[in-house]
Amino acid sequence: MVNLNKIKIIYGFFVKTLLRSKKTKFFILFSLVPLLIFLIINGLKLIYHDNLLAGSDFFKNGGMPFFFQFYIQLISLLFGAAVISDEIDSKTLIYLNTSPVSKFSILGGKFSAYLSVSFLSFAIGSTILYVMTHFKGILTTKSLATLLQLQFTGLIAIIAYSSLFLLFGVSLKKSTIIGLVFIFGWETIAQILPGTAQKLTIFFYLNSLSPIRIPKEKGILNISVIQPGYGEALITLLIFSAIFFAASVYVFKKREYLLADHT
Amino acid sequence: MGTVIKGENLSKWYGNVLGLSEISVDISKGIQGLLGPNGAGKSTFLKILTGQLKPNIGEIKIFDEPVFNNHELFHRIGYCPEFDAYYREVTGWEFIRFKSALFGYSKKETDQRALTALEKVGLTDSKDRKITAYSLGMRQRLKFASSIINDSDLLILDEPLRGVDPLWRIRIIKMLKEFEEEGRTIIVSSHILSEIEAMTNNVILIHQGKIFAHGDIQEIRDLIGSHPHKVSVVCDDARGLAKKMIGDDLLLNIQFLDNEQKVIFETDKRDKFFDTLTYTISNSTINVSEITSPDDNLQSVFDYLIGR
Repeated sequence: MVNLNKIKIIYGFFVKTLLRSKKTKFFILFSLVPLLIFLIINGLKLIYHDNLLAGSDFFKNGGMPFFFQFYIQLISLLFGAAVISDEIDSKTLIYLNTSPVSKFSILGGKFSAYLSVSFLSFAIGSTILYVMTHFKGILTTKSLATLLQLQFTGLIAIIAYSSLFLLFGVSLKKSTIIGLVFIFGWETIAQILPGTAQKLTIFFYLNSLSPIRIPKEKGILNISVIQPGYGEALITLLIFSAIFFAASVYVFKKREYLLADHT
Repeated sequence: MGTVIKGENLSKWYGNVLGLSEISVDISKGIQGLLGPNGAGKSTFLKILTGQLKPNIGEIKIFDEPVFNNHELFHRIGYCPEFDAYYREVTGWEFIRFKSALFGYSKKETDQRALTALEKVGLTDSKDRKITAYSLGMRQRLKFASSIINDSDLLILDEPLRGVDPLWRIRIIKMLKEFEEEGRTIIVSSHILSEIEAMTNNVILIHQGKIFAHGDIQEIRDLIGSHPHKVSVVCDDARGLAKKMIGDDLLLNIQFLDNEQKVIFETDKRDKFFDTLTYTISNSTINVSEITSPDDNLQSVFDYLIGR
C-alpha cells in the first residue's frame, strides 16, 4: 500500500541522517578529486612555463571517465546496496519493520533519500569541474545546456545503478562484493566482448544519453554494437530501474532478516 | 478475558539449529513474563510475535490477525527490541519524533506524543543531544519511549531493563503496572527472575526452544527454594564468618577463595540461610563488601530442574 505521506517522512529523516554521515562527506570531497588533479597539472605547467591543459579536453578524457565509469557506479553501489544492509548491520531495521508502514513505503522513502544524496554528491563535483574546465564560455546557452544534460544523464545513471544495487542489497549478504564484481567485471568486460553482450550493461545505454561521449575501450575484433538512440536508451534504463525496484520490494516483503544470533 | 495472542505449534529453525519447537501459547490481557536463560528461544518467539520472522510450522495471530507482513497491526503494538540499536547521526528527539510520525498522526499530535514519551522516561532535558552521546541506560529508556508513543493495546518488551539504572527500573516497572491497570497487554522477556517477579506473577518459562512451564511465578520460586544454592561473601574475615555460620545444619559445603577474602557457602535451605547470614553479619564486627548469589539466575535453575 502506497502512503505518500509516510514515504515523505522516511525520505526526510534519511536525507537528514545521510547529509550528516561521514560517508556522504567523503563522497562529496571525493567528487572534487578530478578538479584537484586538473588544478595540480595546470599549476605545474604554469611553474614550468608549459602550455596549459585545455579544460574541455581534461573534462572529456579525465572528468567523464571518472564520473561515468567510476564515481557514479561506486556511489550507487555504496549507497544503493546500503539502503537495507546498513539497517541490518546497525540492527535498526527493526524500528522500520515494526512500524505501521508498508515495505513499499519503507523502501520507497529510503531509496529516494539515498538517490537524492548520491545525486547531490555527484552534482557538486561534476558541476564545479565543468564550470572550472569550461570557465571562458560557461555562460553560453550551449554550455549551460550541456551541463544540464550531463546532470540529467548522471541522475539517470544513479537511478539505474542504485536500483540494481538496491536489489543486491535486499537479496544478498555480500552485496558490496558482488556489486564490485558487476561494476569492474561485467560492465567493463562486456564493453569489449563481441556480440550483443554490451546490451546487458547499464553503461551501454548511458553512453547514448551523455552529451559528451564517454571514452571506452575498442571491442574484440573491433566489432561494436550500434548505440541505441536517446529515447530508446532513456526508456530502457527507466524500465530496468523500475523492474529492479519492484523486485527489491518483492524480496524485501518476503525475506526474513536475521539481525543477530537468534535463540 | 479475550485472547490477545494465540500461537499454535510454532516451530522455527535456523538451518540445522532449532530456535523454537512446537510452542503453543494463548495470552490474555495483563503482564506476561517471558523467562529463560540466554539462548533459550525468547527472542525468536518475540521476533515471530512482531512479524520479523515467520514460523516454519504453526501459526500466530494477534488480535485475531496474522502478524507477518501485516504492518497495519503495528498501530496497536508497541515494541522495544533487545538490541542496543540506534541511528548514529540523530538526536533523541529526532528519533522519537520520526517514530511518532510513522503512525500517521497530525504534526501537532506527532510532536505531542513524542514529547510525552520522552517525558515519561525522563529524557526531555537531553532530547537535543545526539543518541551517540547517551549512556546505555538512556538509550534503553529512549527505546522504551519509542515503544509507548502510540499507547498500544499490546506492548512487547525484549529485555527492557537491561542497562537501566535502579531508579528507572522501579519507575518503568511502575509504569508497566499502570498500563496493566488500564487493561493493556504487556509481554516482557528477561533472563533475570527478580526483574520479572517485580512485574508479574504470570510467567512462561522457555528453555531450549520449548515452553518449560507456564503459570504462577511462586511455583518456580518454590522449586528454587529446594535447589542447592551457592552464596558468595567478600569480607575482611571470611574464616570468622564461616565459623559463625556453621551450625543449625544450614550448610552443605564451604569454600575459601582469594586469600580467604571470599567465602562461598552452599546451602539447600536458602531462605533460612539468608536470615542467619543477615543476623550474623549485623551482630559481628565483620566488614562485608559484597554478597552475591551466583546460583540466583535462571540458567542454574533450569540446569537444576532438568538435571533432577
